[in-house]
Amino acid sequence: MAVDKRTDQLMGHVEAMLQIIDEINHDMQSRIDTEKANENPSEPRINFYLSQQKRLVKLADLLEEEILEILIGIRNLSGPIEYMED
Amino acid sequence: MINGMEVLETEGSSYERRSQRFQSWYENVFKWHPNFEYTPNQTINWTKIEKPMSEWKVGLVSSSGTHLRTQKPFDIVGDDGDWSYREIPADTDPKDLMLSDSHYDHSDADSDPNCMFPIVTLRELVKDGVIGSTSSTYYGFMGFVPMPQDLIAHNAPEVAQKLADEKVDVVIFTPGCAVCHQTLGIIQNIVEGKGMATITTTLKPELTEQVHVPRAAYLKYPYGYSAGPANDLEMQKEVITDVLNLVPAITEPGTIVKLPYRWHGRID
Repeated sequence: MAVDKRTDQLMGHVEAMLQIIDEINHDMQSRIDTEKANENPSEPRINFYLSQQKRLVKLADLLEEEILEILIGIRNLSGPIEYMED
Repeated sequence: MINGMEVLETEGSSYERRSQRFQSWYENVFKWHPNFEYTPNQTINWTKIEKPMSEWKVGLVSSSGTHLRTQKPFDIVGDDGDWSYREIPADTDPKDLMLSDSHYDHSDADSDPNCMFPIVTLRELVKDGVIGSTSSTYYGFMGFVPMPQDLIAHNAPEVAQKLADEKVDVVIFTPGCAVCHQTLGIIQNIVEGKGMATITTTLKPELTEQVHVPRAAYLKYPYGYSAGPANDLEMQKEVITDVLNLVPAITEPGTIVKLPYRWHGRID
């Protein structure tokens, strides 16, 4: 009885994507901080970075709450294949 | 937030998503197990823990199908499941443990039972002074119990009494498969009603919240890892310490807290 290892590989890729999203999010935050530290901060720029951050949060949520959840579900089912076949 | 961790909301979009998942599971479970009886706890029992954690005597109950190699395996063939339990001495060498359950993949737990049945973890936490002691006996169930009446009437109260006789303060519960989450939630609530504070890990929060348990910690891992990742004792200790820390921190019966761990998967 063993799971389909491809689900683990896919989950590993999802984790890698989540880490990239986290890095971009930090990058956006540092840009916001830099912009705010300027004498004349650009509101459009700050708003753009903020909007990107919102999208990143949505993307991370989609990956973690939907895609990862489904992959865990497939992994859970793929385990007891012998039992299901019986 | 509790202890810096997210509390699962009981309304709103994430709750709706979990409710839909539960509904989908509920509609399908009868295809696999036509005799399944959905049996949520009618009321949530509640016992407050007053002592500091370093003085707790901690017990362990798992529905992962864990038992001693020398004990009779659980019935994994019958449609009615198996609501018997096995007594496992707390000083057992993990090599003397095995798992009888065919409803989830436990190949990693076969080599490291501690990722389902944290027997070594609890021993280490005593050694580190995190908890005071453990009960001398732990309890193993095989969670596939589609019709839990006998469990509710006999075996769960029997185990609760044995834990109470040992003057256990806190009991940690670890599930195996999906139906296990109902089985374990029933046992947990009965133990809590006997005057011990309890907490379960859950891999299926949408089911745990419908069963109505006193306290739960959601670990976003697949089945087979309800006490942490396999072959990583440090991480297992971290997970179980976080779980135990939630016992006094949760003040609202039925609360489920999401642990800050995610299944990383493997890229070979």
